Amino acid sequence: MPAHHDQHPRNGRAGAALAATPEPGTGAGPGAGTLDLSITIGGDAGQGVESSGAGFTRALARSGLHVFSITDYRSRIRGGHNFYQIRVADRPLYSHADPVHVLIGLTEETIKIHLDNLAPRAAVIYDQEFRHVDAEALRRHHVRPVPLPLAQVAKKHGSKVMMNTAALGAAAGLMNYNVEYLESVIKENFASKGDRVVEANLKVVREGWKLARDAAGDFPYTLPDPGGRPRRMVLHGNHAFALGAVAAGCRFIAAYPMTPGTSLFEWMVAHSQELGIVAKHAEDEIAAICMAIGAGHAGARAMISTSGGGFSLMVEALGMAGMVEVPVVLVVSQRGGPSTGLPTRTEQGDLLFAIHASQGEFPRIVLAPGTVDQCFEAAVRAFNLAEHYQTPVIVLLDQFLSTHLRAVEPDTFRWEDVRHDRATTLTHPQLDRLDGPYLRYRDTDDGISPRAIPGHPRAVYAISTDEHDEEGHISEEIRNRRQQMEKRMRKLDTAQAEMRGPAWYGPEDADLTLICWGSTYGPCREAVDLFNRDKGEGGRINLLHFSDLWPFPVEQTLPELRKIRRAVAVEQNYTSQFARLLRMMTGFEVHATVNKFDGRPMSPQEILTHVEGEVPVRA
Amino acid sequence: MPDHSDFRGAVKRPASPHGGGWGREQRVDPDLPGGRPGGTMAPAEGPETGDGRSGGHGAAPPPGAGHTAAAGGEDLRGAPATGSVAGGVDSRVARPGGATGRAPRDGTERRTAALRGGEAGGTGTGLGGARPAAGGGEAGRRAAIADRAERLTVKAYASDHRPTWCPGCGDFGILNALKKALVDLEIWPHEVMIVSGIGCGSKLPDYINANGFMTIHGRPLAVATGIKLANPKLHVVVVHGDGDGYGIGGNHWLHTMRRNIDLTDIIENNQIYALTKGQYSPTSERGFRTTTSPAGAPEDPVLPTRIAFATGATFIARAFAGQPNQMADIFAAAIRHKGYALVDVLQPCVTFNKVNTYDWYAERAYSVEEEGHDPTDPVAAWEKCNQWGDRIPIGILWRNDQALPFEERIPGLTERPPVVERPLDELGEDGLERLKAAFF
Repeated sequence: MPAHHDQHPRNGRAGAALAATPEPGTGAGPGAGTLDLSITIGGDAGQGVESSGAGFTRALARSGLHVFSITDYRSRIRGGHNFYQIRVADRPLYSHADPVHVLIGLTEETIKIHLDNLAPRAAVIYDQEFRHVDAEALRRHHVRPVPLPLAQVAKKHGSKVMMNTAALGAAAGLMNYNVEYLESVIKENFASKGDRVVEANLKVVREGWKLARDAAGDFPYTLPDPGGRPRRMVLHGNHAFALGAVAAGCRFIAAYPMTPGTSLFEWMVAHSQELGIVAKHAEDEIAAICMAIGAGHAGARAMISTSGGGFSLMVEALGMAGMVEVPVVLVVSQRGGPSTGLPTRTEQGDLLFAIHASQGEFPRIVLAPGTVDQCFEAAVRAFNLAEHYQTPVIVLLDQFLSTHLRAVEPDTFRWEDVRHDRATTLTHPQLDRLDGPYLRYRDTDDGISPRAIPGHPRAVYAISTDEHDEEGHISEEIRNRRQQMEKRMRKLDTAQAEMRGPAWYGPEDADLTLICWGSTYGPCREAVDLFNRDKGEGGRINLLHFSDLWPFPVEQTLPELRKIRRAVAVEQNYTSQFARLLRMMTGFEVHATVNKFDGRPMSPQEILTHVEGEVPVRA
Repeated sequence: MPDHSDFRGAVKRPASPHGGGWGREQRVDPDLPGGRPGGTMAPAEGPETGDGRSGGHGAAPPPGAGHTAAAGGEDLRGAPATGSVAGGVDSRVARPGGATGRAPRDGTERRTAALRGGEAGGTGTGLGGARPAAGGGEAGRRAAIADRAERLTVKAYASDHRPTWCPGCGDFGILNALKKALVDLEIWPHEVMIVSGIGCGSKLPDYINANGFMTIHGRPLAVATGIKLANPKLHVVVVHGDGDGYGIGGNHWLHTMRRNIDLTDIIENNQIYALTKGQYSPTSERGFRTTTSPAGAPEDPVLPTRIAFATGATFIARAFAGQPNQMADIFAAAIRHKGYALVDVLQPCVTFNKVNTYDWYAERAYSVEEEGHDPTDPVAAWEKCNQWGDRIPIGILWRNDQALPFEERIPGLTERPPVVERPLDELGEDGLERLKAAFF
């Protein structure tokens, strides 16, 4: 084991420093030499920043390019600066990146805010009517001002509302990107609004494209049209999880809207009629979890979707599910806390809460997928684990994973990989043969009691949140309490054996290992690549990522920890919750921690800023 | 054999100065549980008679309700092709003919095998699903019920667990009346799910042989909603107290009422918190002295029927635990009602509430039916729902049979089998690819 080191040499204090945007990089980002560009669209809430950004992301992916987009907005509907940052490359992306090469400023404020995050020779597209843009200041930053009559073009073909469409066309024109991909997205996005709206937007996007193309000159950051490449899905973690959930046979979701969990629920609601799903918007989160537990008891694969605040309300019912041994899946998409906190921003602050929430002790399973791709499988697995072990499964996502868009290979979510495990749920033929009394909580070697779905005449039983006997009747007898407590907790031992140990990324023989969990996988992975490429003469770093958090896979983890020379825990929280968990379960002490708790996702560059000093230099 | 008189020998009959109770002209069927001429006490002292239907007590279930019960029974029992809850779910696990199929994990086979052994005295004939003869003790009795070899009587609902309620508690009458209502409606124990919260009366599912779920304090309506939506074939009856329903669960109560989901909500209203030994409840009268209101309760009480009417409940009734026969009729009508049905039950707590006693209620309670109340007249209903004090109306105060239950307001919910009956792999490869297509 590594020697003890100050637990928080950089903790907190260093994290605060992470809030600052790093110095502008030199060159075209981490992938200089290959295509790797970032585009930011900024404006006021209500200007269509997010829809424009998502549309542009999709248009970029349609040519076969890889994309990775993050959204940054505030908890309000009108006013206030929002932005959308799109990264585009010709290889799979796992994170957003700084600096930015094209900035679309729908407001003048946007330009001021993002000026320090622009790459040399970057361009700023803005409306030529803006009166306070200091073009000279832009040039001093080696940034090119591109004022265009965006509002005028929009008004000419319809209304000023379409200014964002003109700006997207201009960005594509400036980067010499085939405008047809944007046109195809516009046709789909506006189809429901009628042909006139579609036509007007097409005219606006084409004119914006042409104006910028004519003004582009020798602008260096261009986007080739690779052509002929496979199209990829573009989606975020919430939607990937929803796809996995319905593939797993989830037929019941109850929720109360709470950012960033809402989009998952909304997708299920939108498809509820088509797929025959019960999707209930409940009166509060307590009702939502209780409805899901009721449905789970009745035999449905049931889930809820929420964030930390809603999960807090669900905690008593979580214990109920554990006590009565009803399967239920809880998706908790974390955001900045405590309390209302940072409603639209990201954090990994609920890990220890999720593992310990609710009074008493009962088995639960906690998973934290690392990427959009992994969310699909995590969903299938969560429902199978919940049903097999008859206990709640909590899946920790966060705002970053729930909202960032990523290009995903179409065969990543395959039906043939979807398994439906009902091995511990009794079938009708099995119940038909049941002659003796049905024991809902039969004491078994693995702690799992075969479960009868209520409704069969041979398995009429009542369950209780009071301690109960094998039949389900209330009992406080000592022998019974011990038996049932041990039976329930034995499930945790059984489950622990099938939990997955951590996954490595990067070179085996590394001088320093980043340790992370959940959604920080992507930025950490890119940080590893970036560091090892640029610092080839020095030491090397790799990454150990945990996605199965409870029951903690101790045996699976210990051999991996022995391979570590120097460990830095990278977490999106203040108190290094995973590092604490790791120490509690394995005795392993990380050497340093990197903490970010400003609500903004980590970029690989930020991580490296704080890790570089920890890497020993190779002789 | 279990003792079917859940409270034999445990009852002391409180003296009533009025003797005849409040319902002088009430129908009395001496064969019915608890049915004694003029009795104001809930609990019966003799064993429940199995076939107490001779009086033709209560209206026959309407065609719709009867059909639902019968159809539900058949489907729940289910041949694998149509009604199997789990059998049709995963062909890799459950195969026709009962083979367990490939077991992905060790232990599955062992557990399954254990189930086959008739370990508790059942005289069943093994794997073929043939009907075991009744008479092998508790298991034999249950098997007979399971196979419906016997006619449905309250015996089917008898539990071998004795209630832990105080002698004389109004909950005994509620338990008996519920059993009788279910039998009257020809609902078998596996076709009902009784959901409760926390409190003395919420232990009821432990004392009845039926599907039950004793949840947490204040939440049974939400749990019941999930059960009903997942499997509308189950008759879902919620039984909980005034603290549970009108206090901590108040928000769920309001929204369940306006939602009009097909649930029966029996609230055992004893105007006190009894399981925690006597604190004032949402329905305690102002000035009511308890350990948490030593100077008298400072708040005005909730009048549940008033709130229910104002919130849009489509069936509102009040029963009195001292009148089990009428209470059974009210329960039956509430269960038959397609939509949310509230039955506020005046339930004397003989231990902690020395004010609202059997006599206190008996002096004030009157039957609205006997007064010729028309429960479908909203103006008259509003008046009855607002009445409390010297005269307390008992019976069905309001019913609106025209309102659609929640389940029928959701497109697609009632057109397919319950979600619990559909196979997990229903989506299929084509379905998944179709959903994925929207993301390209």
